[in-house]
Amino acid sequence: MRDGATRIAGAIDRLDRAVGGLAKAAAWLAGALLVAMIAHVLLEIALRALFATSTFVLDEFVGYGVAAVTFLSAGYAFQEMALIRVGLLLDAVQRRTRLRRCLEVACAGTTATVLWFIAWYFARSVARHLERGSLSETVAQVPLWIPEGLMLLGLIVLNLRITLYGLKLLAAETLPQGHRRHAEALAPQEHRSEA
Amino acid sequence: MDALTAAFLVFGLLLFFLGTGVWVFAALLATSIAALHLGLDFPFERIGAIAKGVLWRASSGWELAAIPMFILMGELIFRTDLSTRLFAGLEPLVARVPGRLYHANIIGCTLFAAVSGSSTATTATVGRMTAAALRERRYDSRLAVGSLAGAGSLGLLIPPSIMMIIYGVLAEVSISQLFIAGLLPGLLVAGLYSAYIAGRCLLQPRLAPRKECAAGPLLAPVARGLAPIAFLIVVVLGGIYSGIATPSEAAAVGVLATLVLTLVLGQLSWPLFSEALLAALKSSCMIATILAAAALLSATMGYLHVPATIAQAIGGLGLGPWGLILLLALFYILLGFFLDGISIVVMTLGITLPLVQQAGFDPLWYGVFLVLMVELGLMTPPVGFNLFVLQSVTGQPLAAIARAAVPFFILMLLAAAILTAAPGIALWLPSKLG
Repeated sequence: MRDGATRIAGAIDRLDRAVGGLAKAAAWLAGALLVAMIAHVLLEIALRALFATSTFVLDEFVGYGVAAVTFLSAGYAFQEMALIRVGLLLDAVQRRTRLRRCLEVACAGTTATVLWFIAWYFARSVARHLERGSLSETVAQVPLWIPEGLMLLGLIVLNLRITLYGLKLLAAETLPQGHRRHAEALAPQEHRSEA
Repeated sequence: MDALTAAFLVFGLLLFFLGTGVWVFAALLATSIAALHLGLDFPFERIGAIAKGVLWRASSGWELAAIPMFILMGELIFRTDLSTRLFAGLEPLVARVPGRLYHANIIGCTLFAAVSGSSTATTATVGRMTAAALRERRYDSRLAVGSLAGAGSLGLLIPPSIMMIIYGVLAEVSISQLFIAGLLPGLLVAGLYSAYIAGRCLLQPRLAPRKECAAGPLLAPVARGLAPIAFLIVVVLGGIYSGIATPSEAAAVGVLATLVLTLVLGQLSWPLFSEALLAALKSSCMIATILAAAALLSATMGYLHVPATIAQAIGGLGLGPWGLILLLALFYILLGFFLDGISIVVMTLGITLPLVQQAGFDPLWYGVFLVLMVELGLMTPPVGFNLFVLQSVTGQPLAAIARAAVPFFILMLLAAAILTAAPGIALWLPSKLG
C-alpha cells in the first residue's frame, strides 16, 4: 500500500519535471515569436516610410502571434506563479494545512476541468481545419490549423501543468505553494522572494 | 430564469470562484460556463462552441501586441541603470524646492510613466532608486512611501498605458486619443502631489532634511540624467503623434530604442535580454488570459441580459448624470479594495459603459475617469498592487504603507472630482491634436 503510493508519487514527480521542461520550452518558443512580431512591425514601418509599401499581412500575423505568445507562455507563467488570484481566503487558512490543501486541490481541479473542456473544443476546431484544409481569407492564405494549433498547444501545456499540480497535492505530502503576492507577478522581478 | 435572478447568479458564481482563490482567468471562465448552463440551460456542446469562438477572437487581436511589447520595454529599462541616472539628474533639480527629494519620487514616476505602460513597473523602478536614498538621508519614511504609492500609479494614466490599451480595445475607442487624453489629468495628479508635499514641508521643515542634498551646478547633471528617458519618450510618444506609428507599432519601436540605448550604455547582454523577455511573457500572459476570459464573461452576461437589467435598475433610481458618476465611483472604490485593476475593468465595462454613454458622457472621458478609479484601487488594502510592490521594495508592513498612502488616495479622489467637474482637462488635448 505504502509502496504503491510512493511509486505513484514518484511517477507524478517525474511527469511533473517533464511537463516543467515542456512549459519552459513553450515559453522560449513564445519569446522567439514575440521577437519575430517586433521585427515584423519594425519591417512594416520601414517599408512604409522608405518604400511606401507594406508586408500586407501585419495585422493578421501579429494577431496570430499575440494568441500564440499568450498561451504558449501560460504553462511557464503558472509554474512561476505569475497568474494572479484573490488570496484573501488562501491567506486566512495558510496555517491550517489540511484545509489549505483541500482548497488548493479544489482550485486546481476547477481550473483543470474548465480548461480541458475548452481545450477539447479547440482540438475539434483544429482537427476540422486540418480535415478541410481551411485557409484564412487574406492574401497570406494561412492554413488555419497552425495559429489555432499553437494556441491549443499552449492550452494543453498549461492544463498538464495545473492537473499535475493538483495531483501532486493529492498524492504526496507536499504543501501547497505559498501563493505569491499578486503584485510581484506584475512588478519587475528582481526583488522576488519566495513566500 | 428572469434577468434579475440571472444577474445574481453571475455575481454569486463570480464571488464564489474568485473568493475561493481560483486563478482569476479560470474563475471568469468557470463563471461563464456555469452561468450559461444553469441560467439558460445551454447544452455543453453549444457552450463549448461559444467559448472557443469568443476566446480565439479575444486572444488574437493585433492591438493586443502592444501589451507584451510595452511590458518588455519596461522590463529592459528596469534591468539597466537608467533609474540611477535619472535620480542623479533629478537631485539638483529638486534641491531648491520645499520638499526636496520627495519630488524626485513624483517627477521620477511621472517620467517613467511616460516610457512604461504599467504602474507596478513604475513603482518598482522608481521605488528601487529612491527608497534607499531617502531613508539614508533621514527623510520621513511615511511621506516617502506614501508619495511613491501615489505617484507610482501614474503609470496607468500617463501614456503609454496598458490599462488604456485594454480600455480602448474593449470600448472601441481610439488608443492614441486615449493616450493623449490621459496626459493632462496625469500632470494634474502629479501637480497635486507635489503641491501637497511642498505644503507639508513648508509647515514641517524637519520632514525634508537640508543636509546632503547636493545643490551644485544644475544644467549638466540634469541633462545627463534625463537625456536617456527623454530620448525614449520622444521616440515612443513622438512616433505615435507624428503619425509614423500606431500605438502597437510605437511599442515595437520603443523596444528597439531601449535595446539601442542599452547597447550604447554598454549594458546589453544575453542574460539581461533573456531575463527581461521571460519576465515580460509572464506578465503579459497574466493580462491577456484575463482579457480573453473576460470577453467570454461579457458575452455570457449579454446572453443573460445582465447589463440591460442593471441599467434598468439604475435607471429606475432616477439619478442624474452626476449621481450616476458618484455611484460608479463608490462602486469602483469598493471593488478596488478586493480586486486588481484589470479584472475590475474587464468585468464591469460591459455594464457601466452603456450607462455612462446614455447619461451623455464621452467614452474618451470615461476611459480617463475609469483609469483614475483603478489607480485608487492600487493604493487600497487588502489587494492593492502598488502596496505589494512597495512592501517588497521597502520591507515595511502592508498596513504601514497603506496608512502612508491615505493622503495621496484623497488627493487622487480630488483629481477625479476635478476631472468630473471639468471634463475638458481630458478632452481638450485630443480635440486639438486628433
